[in-house]
Amino acid sequence: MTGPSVADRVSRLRTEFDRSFAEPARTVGADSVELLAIGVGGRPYALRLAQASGVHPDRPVTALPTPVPALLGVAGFAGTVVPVYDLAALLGHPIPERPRWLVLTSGTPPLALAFHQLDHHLRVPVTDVVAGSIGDGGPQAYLQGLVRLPDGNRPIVDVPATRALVHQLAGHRPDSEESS
Amino acid sequence: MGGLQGEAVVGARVTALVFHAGPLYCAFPLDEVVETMRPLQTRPLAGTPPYVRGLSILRGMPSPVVDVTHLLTGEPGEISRYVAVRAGRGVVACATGPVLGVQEVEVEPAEGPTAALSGVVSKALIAAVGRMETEPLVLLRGIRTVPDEVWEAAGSTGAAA
Repeated sequence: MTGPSVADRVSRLRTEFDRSFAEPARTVGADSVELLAIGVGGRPYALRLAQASGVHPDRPVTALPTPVPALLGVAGFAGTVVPVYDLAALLGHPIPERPRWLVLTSGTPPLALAFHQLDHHLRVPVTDVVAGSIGDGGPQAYLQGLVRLPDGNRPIVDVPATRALVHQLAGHRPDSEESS
Repeated sequence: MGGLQGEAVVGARVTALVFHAGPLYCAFPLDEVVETMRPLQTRPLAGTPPYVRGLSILRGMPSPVVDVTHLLTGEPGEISRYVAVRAGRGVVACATGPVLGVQEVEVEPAEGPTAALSGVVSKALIAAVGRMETEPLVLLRGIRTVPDEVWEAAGSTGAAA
């Protein structure tokens, strides 16, 4: 995979950070939403930061024998074994490349979603987020709304919907203890 | 917080942002400091004192940039950080050497020890003096040395923006 080197990315991030001091101060409040811009199977998506409890690169994942192609295996997080699902496979465009990043989702039961690229963290006005379902079913059911960004629109992966759907895939019946 | 209001009291402990300005250890009371950053793009202004580097855009507002080393020693200093401080008419970016961090510094009022520094720095700048291990430390009071014409240039730049 070719792309910008680590040094190039560090330089770009540093420049962006320095430039941010010239921008008018912004307050974080109910009028903005924090997102992670991610690459999944070569396509751009976003995740709500509030629905994630951690992002981890290069975490060992132990494969399991499973009939569910999207289930990559399990990973350990603070002593808890967590199932890891390939987000690209869930969204209907799997690629052979192994996802490097895991996002540990907030809510119960624990769930980790694997994706290929972490693009950046961003805070956008709520007016830049278009709510609503992207589609009626299939892979679109994992998506809820999209965010308008200068480099294009990104569908937003909805963690609660994803949790419910992967548990259906695994034949798991949720109980009343579970929450998003 | 030390609560230093222009003049330090004898033996006062002040929470301050400590930095290098050329050969000097300097500090601003923390309640005057807004933030620190790497140097931003600065546009020179003709006809200003040599210690005024020009104008930078800070948080969307044109702000004067003062070379603290030049102001204190008369010689331009190596600049590695801008420290934004509250001044009378707005925020001033103070171009400094490395920022060493936030520390409690023990200071004495300026009158006595400042005599040794007279001619090197303007007493109007100094709230108090202290020390960092074996080196003297100068606690600066709010930067009031930005000429009016620089503020006016900043204002007109802001109005034009």
